[in-house]
Amino acid sequence: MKRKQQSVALAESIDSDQENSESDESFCDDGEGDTDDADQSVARNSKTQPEKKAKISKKELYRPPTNEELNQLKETENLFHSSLFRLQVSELLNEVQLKAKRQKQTEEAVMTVSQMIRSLKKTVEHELQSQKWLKNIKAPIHQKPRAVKGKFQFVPPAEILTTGSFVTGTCIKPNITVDLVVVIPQECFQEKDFMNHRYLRKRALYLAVIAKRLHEIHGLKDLQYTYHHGNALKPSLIVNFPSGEHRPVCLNITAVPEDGVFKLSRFHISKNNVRRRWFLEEGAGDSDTDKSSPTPFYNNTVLQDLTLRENATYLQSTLGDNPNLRDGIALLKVWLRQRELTQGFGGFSGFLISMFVAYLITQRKISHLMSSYQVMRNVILHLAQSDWTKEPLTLCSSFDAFEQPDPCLFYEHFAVTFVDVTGYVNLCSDISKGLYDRVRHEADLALKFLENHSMDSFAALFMTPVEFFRKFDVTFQIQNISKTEVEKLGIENKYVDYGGNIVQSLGSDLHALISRGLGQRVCVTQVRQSPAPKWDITSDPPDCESSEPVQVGLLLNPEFAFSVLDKGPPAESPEAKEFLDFWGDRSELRRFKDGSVCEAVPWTKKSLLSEKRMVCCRVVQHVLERHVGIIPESVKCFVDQLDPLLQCPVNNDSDDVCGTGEEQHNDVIQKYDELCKLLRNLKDLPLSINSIQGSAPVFRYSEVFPPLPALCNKEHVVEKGGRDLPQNYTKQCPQYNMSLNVICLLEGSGKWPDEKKAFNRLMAAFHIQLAESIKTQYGFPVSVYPRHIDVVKDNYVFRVVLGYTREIALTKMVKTPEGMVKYKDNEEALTLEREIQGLPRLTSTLHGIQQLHASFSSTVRLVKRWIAAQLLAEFVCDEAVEIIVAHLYLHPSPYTPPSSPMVGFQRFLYLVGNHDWKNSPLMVNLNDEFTAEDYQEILGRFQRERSSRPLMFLSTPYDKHASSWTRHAPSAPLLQRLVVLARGSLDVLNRLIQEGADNSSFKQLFRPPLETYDLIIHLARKQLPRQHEAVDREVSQLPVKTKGRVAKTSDPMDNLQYFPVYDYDPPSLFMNELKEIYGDFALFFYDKYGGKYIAVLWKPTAFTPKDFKVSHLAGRKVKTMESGDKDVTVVPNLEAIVDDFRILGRGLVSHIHVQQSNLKS
Amino acid sequence: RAQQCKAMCASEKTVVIDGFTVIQTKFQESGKIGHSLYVKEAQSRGSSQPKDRTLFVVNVPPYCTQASIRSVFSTFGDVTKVYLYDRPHKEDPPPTKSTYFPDRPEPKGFKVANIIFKKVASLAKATSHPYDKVLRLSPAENPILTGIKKWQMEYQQNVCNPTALEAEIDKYMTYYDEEQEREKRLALEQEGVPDEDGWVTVTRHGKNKGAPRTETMEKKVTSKNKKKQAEKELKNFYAFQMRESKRDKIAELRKKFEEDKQRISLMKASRKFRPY
Repeated sequence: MKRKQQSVALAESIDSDQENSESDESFCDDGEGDTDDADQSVARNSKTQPEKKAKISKKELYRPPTNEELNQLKETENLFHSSLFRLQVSELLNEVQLKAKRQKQTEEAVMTVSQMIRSLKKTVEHELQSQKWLKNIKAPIHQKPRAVKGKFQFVPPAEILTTGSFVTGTCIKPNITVDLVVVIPQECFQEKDFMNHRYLRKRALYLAVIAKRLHEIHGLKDLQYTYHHGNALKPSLIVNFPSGEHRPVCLNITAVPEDGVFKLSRFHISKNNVRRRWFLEEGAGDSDTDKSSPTPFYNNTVLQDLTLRENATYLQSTLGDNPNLRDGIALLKVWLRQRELTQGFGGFSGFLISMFVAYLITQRKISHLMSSYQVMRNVILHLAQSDWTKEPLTLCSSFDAFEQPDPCLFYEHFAVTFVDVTGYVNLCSDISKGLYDRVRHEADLALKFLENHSMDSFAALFMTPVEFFRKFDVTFQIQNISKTEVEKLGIENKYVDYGGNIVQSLGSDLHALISRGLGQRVCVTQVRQSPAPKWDITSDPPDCESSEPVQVGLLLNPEFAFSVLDKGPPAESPEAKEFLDFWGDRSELRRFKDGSVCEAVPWTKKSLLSEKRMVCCRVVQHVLERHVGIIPESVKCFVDQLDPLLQCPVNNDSDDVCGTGEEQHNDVIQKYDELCKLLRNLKDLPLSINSIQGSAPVFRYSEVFPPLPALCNKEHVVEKGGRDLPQNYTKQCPQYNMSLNVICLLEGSGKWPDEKKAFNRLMAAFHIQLAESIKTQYGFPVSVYPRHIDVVKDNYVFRVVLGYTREIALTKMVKTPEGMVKYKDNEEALTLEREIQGLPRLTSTLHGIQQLHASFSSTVRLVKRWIAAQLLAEFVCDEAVEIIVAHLYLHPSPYTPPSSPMVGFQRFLYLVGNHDWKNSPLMVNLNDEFTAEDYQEILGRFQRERSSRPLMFLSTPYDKHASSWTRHAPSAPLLQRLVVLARGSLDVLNRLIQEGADNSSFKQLFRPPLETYDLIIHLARKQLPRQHEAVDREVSQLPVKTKGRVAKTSDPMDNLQYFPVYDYDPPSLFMNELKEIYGDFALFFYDKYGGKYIAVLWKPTAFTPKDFKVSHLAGRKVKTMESGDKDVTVVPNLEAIVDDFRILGRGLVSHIHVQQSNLKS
Repeated sequence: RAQQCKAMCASEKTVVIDGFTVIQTKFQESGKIGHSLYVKEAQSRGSSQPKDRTLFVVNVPPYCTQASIRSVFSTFGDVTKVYLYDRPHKEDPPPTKSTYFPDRPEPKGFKVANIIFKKVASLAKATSHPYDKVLRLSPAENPILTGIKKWQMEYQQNVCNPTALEAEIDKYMTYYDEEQEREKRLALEQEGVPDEDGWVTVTRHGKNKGAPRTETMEKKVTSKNKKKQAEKELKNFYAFQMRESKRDKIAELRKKFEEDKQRISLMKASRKFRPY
């Protein structure tokens, strides 16, 4: 994996940043009294730089408003979302729009290049086929078949136009390109040039000549070809024109024929202009059928050139010079760009969105008076509400039924229809159904974000990149697509129409098949847009036969996506045949509960959730294999690659394969429910139990490896109700069993003592009583402790803790000298509050999230596994991680809630790596308890008190301003490390998915880099009870006794009548000692899930020599004196400390490896 | 000091730094030399730790127990008592009576110790211990348990005898109840009895209990008063009130605008407006 690390202890950038912000605050306080200055700052309008001033004085707040200011305030209220939104929008536009200086540079570059092209001379006439005269420059188009009639001669362009976003002023950074259109004069064309790619080839040659001349005569170096909007039939020339010391100006040169060269009706949608016989080089064919199959795509491609000027003029005249429209379009373009929808073939281009705005203006849906925000909002609204796949949009005002095609006719050939001004062209000819669905889906989401005033819709809409792999729940790749698939589907005509591009001609059919196969399981199926290729003018265009793998994303509908059976029509019905035809031998007859006998396709026999998640992939693989002949190995799905990290192999000797643990959670929770019932039915308790709530992670589905029932060990003789001891295991340490915390809150009573000591004793007495009752009433093994009791039920160990809410107040209680009773927070009380109130509440809330989102459990556990594997689990508390993951589900913007752990994991990495921890709190609206005011309040208070707040600030309705789970950890360097690791891991994960790496290589995300640590303490294998949970586990190292561990304890003999060894994990005991004793000298890192080593990092601060004082002596030795030193100083006695590690971990430590040779001594 | 240190370099018999004698130790006979103990005569701390017989030891390694310290220092003479603390105290903390409800956690990590010898001579012997003579901390006959053995032992001992626990609780509770009863009686006796200045103390046991003096109660009272006043007030009744509320609204908007601007400048500082 990429090892981008900074030394943990040294990376303190967050710390230093914080200091800066503090100094800012003090600056603000100073300026408070200075009213003159403040007056000016308010009078400025929103676009100027805001002053750094926290408060405005009273006098100025109540100053009589000017007319202008009133208007401004009112306008904001009426025309924008909120004043903040308005300010944000103007800042954003500032950032993406061209500055005046650059605008001038660009215009100059356009002038110069146009001049260069104009000055080119006419050439002699050549055969269209022979292109030897071009020498090393290549024509940017595929020329297969080579044979074509006609002659080509270069004549200087009749005209050079500047079109596109640069002219309308809607271009956005980065990658601003100016569209230059050269008009090829009539002289270049001959009769019948509309046929068989002749026009296209001439156009390509024309560009090639320009490229050649610009290169040879004018010495331009940076020349490349690309496809215009990714359309392989229409290349364009990219000129990066140097502009002094500034960045080069990028020009995109395309060519169109002069007006009147071709008649538009020649390219009517249902006409044929490419002969199949010519293209496929078939011998004698029936010329009639040859003509009958239309070539809509080819026609449309040519027509776009023919009508370019008309459409551009229309667009310019409609948009006019209105800055609000311009800004609105820029915003929409940013919105689409962030979703990767604009690029490549079939992208929802800026031109298209501009045309749509123009359309809405003509329809009077948008007026010139609207603000940029309103323009954007209206466009998105209409995108969401209209359906271009059913009702065609048309810009053409005069319809001539004899000449122009009927707008509905376009649906015969294209999925999405948007007819241009002339009435001949479909502007959406290359847009697939999938992409259009995605755009509408995004528009829908955008509307929801805008309606929700409590969230930061600005960031969700414009600032967060919605990356393809993070957007879709399931992604898969189709590799090795070849021409055989075209033949299998019988769509040679399309192949001819698309000029031999296999992927493009297959696109719509694949989409239709996949959509039909998946049915209700998915909401959106989209093929990833890849940017148009660029290549040098001296090389041939990229091969279109051997294609890149096609990436497809599925947005699941969680309601149906995981059903294991596709129910078909009743047997023998006419639809049944069609159903059978589609599914083939996968379909079988089944009798359903309502008595009907139907065709049905079962996908899996097991009811494990991990299996259900695979169903969608199975469907796709089956459908593609059956109908297109793509073998399942070529369809690579990214769903279960990370599952092995959650699978526990202990249970493997029985036949049923362990899933990813959701089922085990359910089993434990079921046993826990039974226990609750028993506890409620207890008699002879002096106080009744008010509520019973689990607080162990397993009760909120977030235990990485949920406990399995403890093993009944028949070799050890343990009396009933007694305890098994670790001493009984000599060869290998005992299995790890964990106790599960259950909190019981007692009913209120006035008789509790007011003193903490007495209270504690009384509570212990209650525990004794409770244990006694359980023992006599149910006969479970119970053991009593002053603060809890342990109970063994169904081979699980439950730890029942009695709690009483007043105890928290009692711990907080302080008596002032005046006799007033005050409640003050202290560490003990906060811990208690977390344990008996916070945790149970969090547990029930997260349990609720799991009920709504089935993937929550796997996501949160995967994340916890990752953090532990990166050795950071000690520093980021589990609950904090759970809350962050809950954020992914409760505030999914700009996405929808994740439906697979894979995507949930990616989003977590992105969130942690990119959230601005320094300046903004992460607000998680658990249980939907926040109000809009709460958000404001939290944010305000956070900003005011930033310096005294935890670095990683999580705010939930239960602890709005406290962030109780991250009060002490992580510290700045560790948070920084977490951020760096998250970013690095996300990069690696994306690369793996993109490359289609095999499943085993995904584990590298979970292997931590070790170079930065000073010491590695290796542990003895036989003392690690959890080593089967390790990332890389060796089968031979697994615990010996895997037999007899059964999930269901139906056999009464297997039911434990004594305590198994539980909560006995030597490495964690060792870790506790190390942290407690040597916390001042070093940080200790350990993967609690079966880690085989402890990594140690010395704290640099501990090594500064200290004076010889009693309080400084612990663990230190006297520094050897050098001449000149006056005082006796002490430094850590490193060798002795390392030796202590060995002594304290005797039996567990196998050896200690010192990593850095220059040990600071 | 420098001289004292020179003494160390010359490896003379006893090394004394700043009044502390340095004693080198190792865990076991075979082990390497580990931490050094720094010992000196303790200052007087009452009768339990007499001045001339008490040795103050700093930097006691974490694995040492009371028993092991006692056996190690027996080499200098009979030890009557060993006190272990996590850091030096001005006064002796009261001893923990209860086995199940400790008043403070056991000291962990590096500790300090006060060792009381039976004889005065032993103290001198300890403070003049030669530097080269290395003390063994883990006695051979009764070695200190660490690592796996220790944890196994702790696991075994981590049980609680319910009857013993109950007995302890009962004992404490009877004591506590008596204490409470006594207090109550005392309070009842004082009920209505004025003190020297003629003030009568209101207690929670008397007839007129009064409101409990807590923070929440005080807040409640003040908020009630405020509420009453607010109810009396007329809103948007006079023209000046209307004017004021309008002005307030504008001020509110302005304030929000200012705040937003502030936020924008913060965001701008962290380069939040570049969507690429």
